[in-house]
Amino acid sequence: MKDKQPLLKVKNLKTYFFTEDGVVKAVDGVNFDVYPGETLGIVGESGCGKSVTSLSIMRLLDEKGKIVDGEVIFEGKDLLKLSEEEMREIRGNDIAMIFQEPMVALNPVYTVGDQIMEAIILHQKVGKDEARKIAIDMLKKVGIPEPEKRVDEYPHELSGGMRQRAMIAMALSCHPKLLIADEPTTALDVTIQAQILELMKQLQRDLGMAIIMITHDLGVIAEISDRVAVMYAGKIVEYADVKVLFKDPKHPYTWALMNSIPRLDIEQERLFSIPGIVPDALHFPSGCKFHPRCEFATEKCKSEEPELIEVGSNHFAACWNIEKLEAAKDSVRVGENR
Amino acid sequence: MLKDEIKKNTRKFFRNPTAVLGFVLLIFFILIAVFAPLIAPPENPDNPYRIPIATWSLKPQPPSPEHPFGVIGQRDIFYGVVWGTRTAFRIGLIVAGISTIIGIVIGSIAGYFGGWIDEILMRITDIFMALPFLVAAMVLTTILGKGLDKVMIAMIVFGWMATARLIRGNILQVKEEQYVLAAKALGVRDSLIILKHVIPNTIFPVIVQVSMRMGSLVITAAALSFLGLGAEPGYADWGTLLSYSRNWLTEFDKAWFSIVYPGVAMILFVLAWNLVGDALRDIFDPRLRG
Repeated sequence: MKDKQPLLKVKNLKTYFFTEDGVVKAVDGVNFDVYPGETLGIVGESGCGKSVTSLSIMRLLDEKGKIVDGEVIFEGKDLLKLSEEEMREIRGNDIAMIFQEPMVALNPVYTVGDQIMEAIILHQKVGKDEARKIAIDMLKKVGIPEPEKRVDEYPHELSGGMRQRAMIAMALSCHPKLLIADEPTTALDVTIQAQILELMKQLQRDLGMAIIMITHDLGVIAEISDRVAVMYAGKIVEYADVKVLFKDPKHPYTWALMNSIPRLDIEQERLFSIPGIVPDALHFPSGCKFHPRCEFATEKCKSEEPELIEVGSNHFAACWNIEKLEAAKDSVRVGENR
Repeated sequence: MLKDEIKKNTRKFFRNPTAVLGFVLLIFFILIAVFAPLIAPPENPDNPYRIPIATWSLKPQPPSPEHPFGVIGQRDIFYGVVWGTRTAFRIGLIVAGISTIIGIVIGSIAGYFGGWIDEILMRITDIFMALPFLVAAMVLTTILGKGLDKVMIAMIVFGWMATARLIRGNILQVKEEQYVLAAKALGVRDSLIILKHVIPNTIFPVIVQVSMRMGSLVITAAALSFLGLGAEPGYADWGTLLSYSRNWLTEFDKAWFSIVYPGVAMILFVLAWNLVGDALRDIFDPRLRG
């Protein structure tokens, strides 16, 4: 994968929100690459900056949020330097996005078809009849039964899973090279979740697009991602191939997250949870932002912030105490006696 | 597609008995207003809104073949009610129309741009809302002088706030909706988003509010007329007719017709607009479709 050119390269992205109470450093120096046709998972608790990262790539932040530093290079162009006009050409056409709440991401006053056609007419410069044909075709592709009938229905006439399928149809109608999926399955129940993930994988194979999957759900990450970035408090703390990450986490936060997954193969009295809460974005702790919740924290963690260092092939982690974690892993087998 | 939609909505409309009742009532009033010169031919075609003097006696006269609704304050009530329909429509359409436009402009500027613009416009709105309507209208008509047009100006000046607040609130809400973000993510330009995604989701409550207000405005105008602030005596206006009966309040049996006929006209007029407003909401707002 290394020899290919990345489709999207995010370099040192910093997005701050300037609020009345102070500056919120929602995204604070994030780096990652997305290669054509692969899936990058971004995982983290709510408030860790994963959604803001995606909105920054699309340049869809509201007026309080500002990208203060960094580059977002898509196919060789820095998106942050484009004019609003040029950026609009990219949105929907080259990079598309699907959202968390299919219930509210469709406009209630238009039919599903109208909304899919909007994007097609806008970017593909085709007439209404042609756009309608494409819309019906897309609905068929995302597995909506009776697409000829559904195309004229209003969002409230569809179920949650159907609406998310329609959203996917809308996002993919112009064959984007990159799809950003912001918690696309969170609002759906598990069986529908599995169907939607399966659909996304299949469409990725058919259309060859890259996906950035943003979620807090490690199960979803394991299901769909090739590589994973774990975010905590506006920074990427670990970055690895999915199998490596699950087998051999190198950051105490990732390790703790893995331990919080309920396991069926062993007996557990209580489910492990990470002590403390996500830090307030206005008052991040000094040094490593995870240190107040970290069982391996030392004095150094309180004063100095670790950088991402290469800990294996294509595996990066930002921690001062990787040896301590390794020692702990040896003494306690993950998930037991905790 | 559109034809089907219209057909579907028309069918839906005629299946709803209250909607049909409101619609029929409204048509009835429109016909009366349009054919007023035939129903009650004016004596002086240059000034048809002036109710002709029917008798020189100051006493009210009960309904008779010559004066089907009776006579009060020397004026023929039937003539007043018929030509008063035109006045009612004029008050309703002009006041509701202009005050709604003012409200939409102020509300959408405040809602869309936000920040200090919103703050200033909404505080002005608050000031206008803090004034008791009747007192404010009375003061303004005293300054401007008597007459129906002055009353309408007063009602416009103090009547746009509800619409402004409604549209502002709706725009604030719709602005945050995910489908607006989704449309942006598809590369739709701002102006088109406002036109296609924001306005259609904010305008329905305003349309419904306008049609509901059409009726209540006529009541307000009548109240002002009753208080002696409205049209000059003898003007064909339901409120003015009612104000004649003020002197006979203690002797209801002698002047009941002067309250009942203009009163019933007013009630039916308000009812018609309210029922039509309800029906419009049921039809136009797809969020209520089920």
